[in-house]
Amino acid sequence: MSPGLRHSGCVLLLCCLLQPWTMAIAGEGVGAIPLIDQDGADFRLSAVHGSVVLLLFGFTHCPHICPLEMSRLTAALETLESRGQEVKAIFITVDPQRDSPAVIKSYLSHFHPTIIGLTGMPGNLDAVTDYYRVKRVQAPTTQGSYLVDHGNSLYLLNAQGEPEALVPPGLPSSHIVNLVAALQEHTH
Amino acid sequence: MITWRVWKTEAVHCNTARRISLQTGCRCGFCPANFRMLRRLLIIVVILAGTSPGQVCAAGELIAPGYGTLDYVVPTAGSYALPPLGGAADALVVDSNGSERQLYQLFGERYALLSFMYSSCSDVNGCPLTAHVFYRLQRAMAQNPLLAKSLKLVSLSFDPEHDTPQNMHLYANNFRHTDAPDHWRFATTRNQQQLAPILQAYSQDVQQALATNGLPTTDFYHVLRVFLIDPQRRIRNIYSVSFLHADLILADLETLLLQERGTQVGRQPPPERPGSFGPGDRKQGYARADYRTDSLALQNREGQVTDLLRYASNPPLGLPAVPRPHELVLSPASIALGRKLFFDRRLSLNKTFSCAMCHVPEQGFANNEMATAVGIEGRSVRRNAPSLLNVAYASRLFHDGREDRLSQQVWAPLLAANEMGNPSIGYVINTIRSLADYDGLFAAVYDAQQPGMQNIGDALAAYQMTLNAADSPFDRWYFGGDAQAVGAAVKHGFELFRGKAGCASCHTVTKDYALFSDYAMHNTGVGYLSSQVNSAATVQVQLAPGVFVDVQREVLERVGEPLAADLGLYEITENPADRWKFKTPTLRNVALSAPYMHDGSLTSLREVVEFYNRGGIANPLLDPLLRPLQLQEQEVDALVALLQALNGSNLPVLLRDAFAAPVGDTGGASPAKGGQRGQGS
Ligand code: HEC
Ligand code: HEC
Repeated sequence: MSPGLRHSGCVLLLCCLLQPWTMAIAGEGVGAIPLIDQDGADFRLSAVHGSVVLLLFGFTHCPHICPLEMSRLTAALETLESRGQEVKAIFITVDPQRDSPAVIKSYLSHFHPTIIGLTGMPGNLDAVTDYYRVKRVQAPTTQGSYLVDHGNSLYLLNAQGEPEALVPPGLPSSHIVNLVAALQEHTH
Repeated sequence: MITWRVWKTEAVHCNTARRISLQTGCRCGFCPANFRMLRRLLIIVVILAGTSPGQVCAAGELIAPGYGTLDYVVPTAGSYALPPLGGAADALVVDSNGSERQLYQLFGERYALLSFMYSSCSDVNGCPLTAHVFYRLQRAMAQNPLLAKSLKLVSLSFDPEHDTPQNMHLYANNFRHTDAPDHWRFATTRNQQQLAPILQAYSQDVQQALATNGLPTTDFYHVLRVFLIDPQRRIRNIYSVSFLHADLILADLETLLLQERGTQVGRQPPPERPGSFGPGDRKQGYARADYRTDSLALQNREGQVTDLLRYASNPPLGLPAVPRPHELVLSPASIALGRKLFFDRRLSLNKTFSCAMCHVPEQGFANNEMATAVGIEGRSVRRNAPSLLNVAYASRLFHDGREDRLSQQVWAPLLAANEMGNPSIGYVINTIRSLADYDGLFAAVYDAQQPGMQNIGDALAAYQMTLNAADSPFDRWYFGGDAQAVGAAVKHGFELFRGKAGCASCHTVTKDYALFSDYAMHNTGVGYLSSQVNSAATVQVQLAPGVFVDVQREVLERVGEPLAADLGLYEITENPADRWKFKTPTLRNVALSAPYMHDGSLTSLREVVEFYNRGGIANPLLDPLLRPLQLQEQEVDALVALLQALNGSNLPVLLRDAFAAPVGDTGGASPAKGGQRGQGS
């Protein structure tokens, strides 16, 4: 398959797998799904189309991998910022039950200030995670609480909002910086 | 299909993995820890967020060494061997372009590292660790064309449901624009049916974790294992959490490449004479009047802690991979804990007697001064304390082979009235629980457990499993191909050992390694002799170097206990054919552990060889392999020369490490609970 066909290929494949109600949305694209940002305002991913985007799924009660991932993202954003490279960063919760806009906002205050935090109606969030094939499953803990197991690799999205690469946890922030730079070079 | 014993995932303590500069962007001083601390840690993260990078480890938190620099020197490439651990299975997988491929095709023509992954893995010391180490290797390959030509990195998902070929493609895309696009390959499978045989072939017991409500979660329990596979598709090393480090992998790869070329370079310096710096007196030549001690004053002894784990993970040249009971935690922390116990005199009834007082490190972890051991309050034991060097390989323990697990074996000396004399298991457990300097040490290694029967045994076993000593002159000659490593006598001795003298039929040597033991039970007649013939009227007793007196046996027996009879294996099986059968001991480092045989009845290696030359001791059940050998004087010398060429080059390192261990003096240094905290190890 040629690289050009690849993405349309996956989208087609996905459309077949998705539930009928998400199919309608997928038709308009994932960018049209209504979400809510950390200030409680309406937000759609199409708002960041046109930029390279770093997209991370997580939840604020996530014990260790998420803070590490967020810290890595923050470190990458700081370097990119200092180099004047434009990039958008988005955190989408997989735990809308507990992650209200206010909770997300206070969580984000510990990381890079430009990170956009998103939650939304559960069905809408499902549509987004399904689109990106991100696993999310609630796992009760013995303390009567729960965690959300979720795909925790970082998405690099191109200006059309399509995934270009998945950066697994464990790769350094400098790699993310290089990757963003390479993608921008290729699109220009 | 291959099976091998596995390590349990180990957690590594921050203090053994200090100096970690997490390049993953862990900038907030946060160090991932076990799940129980999750909530608290989030708070720590939040508090620490915004502080400068650098301090990654807070006390008690766990992070694998692979994220940082090793705090020990990586063994020189070529100074050790990596014997094959079995075949690496081939299988049908799906590559990141969605095409069906054989795993072997992904491995390429040369060496390959194979890891298993899934994208929702949240254990920082799991998949992310592998990714981090692979990334480092990938960078090294980008800079080193030779390395790039020699190695492929393969990540195979064990979650086909979510790690689709498309997602694997996105992973591979990380390197699409770099100079090294094809070094790291990502693959998945179509479904569970395609995956299952692969997991089985690589002993990846992946289980989907169940939530407390019994429903499956996306988390998998799996023991992190990364496989190093050679061009002949044999597994040459398996890295677990503690060893998954780019530097160790590169050293292994270089070792294999050197071995391929038939060269052994970067050898370690010739062994120091063990004992020459030691506090203990090896009493070599004690029988002679011109005897001079070579021991150091106690205050001059130098201890130096070393990374013992490497002797279990990469045993010195001449030894195979260490058989690892899968439930045993083998990590720097468990080893340090085991060592602390091993040298701790407080573990005996009267708080004076440690394991190390019978298994004396500078005497080959045996005891040169006593034919049969003596325990607390001078109580006699009827057998000789065997060397613990290379005991990790002993599939049978004790002279009569009655035990087979180190973790269980420890209770015998702890509870024997004539050894450490503790009245019960509970007594030992309570002793340890009451010692403040053990606070938290067990919990840190054994999943928050208190000291107990199993983990006390496990910790002692962990330490003993690292006491592997090889890379002897013999090994460097025979396995390393260094013709200069030994003289003509040793080479001749080895010829006799395998040929005319027939020693190798019990003290086995294989093409790739030598344990010098079949760990089987044989009747050599030593036991028969001591049980039958003790009628000599006088016994020679040595008072000082060169000074002996003959004492009437009758007089001796009035002050001491007569030696109890010893029927060997028969006492365990009660099968009359097993009378006087004893376990074949290894001959590695044997020059250090005189006197010899289960009863210490032979005092020198020459006496042992002469014993075999006579065909052992005739008795109705004598092992048929033993017969008079008709060895000439010079052939006896050659065999002795061989036995003396088996001391491991790393013994001095083991000894210095042993000297660094606290001995649990009750003189105030390590107070009981409530007092001032003693120094932990
Ligand atoms: C009183 C002296 C003494 C003490 C103390 C002692 N041992 Fe031993 N050890 C012996 C003797 C003697 C044997 C052989 C016993 C037999 O075969 O029945 C032995 C055998 C062993 C073996 C089996 C080795 C082999 O190759 O078969 C191991 C392992 C061992 N001891 C470990 C320990 C540990 C660990 C401790 C402390 C908990 C300890 N010993 C304390 C005297 C001692
Ligand atoms: C039939 C099997 C067998 C053969 C053949 C054999 N051994 Fe042994 N060897 C043993 C056993 C069993 C013991 C332990 C005996 C005991 O503890 O009473 C032993 C003990 C020894 C020891 C003492 C080790 C120690 O730590 O106490 C030495 C040294 C030794 N053998 C060398 C040799 C040499 C050299 C030859 C060849 C001339 C040889 N053996 C042939 C079975 C064998």
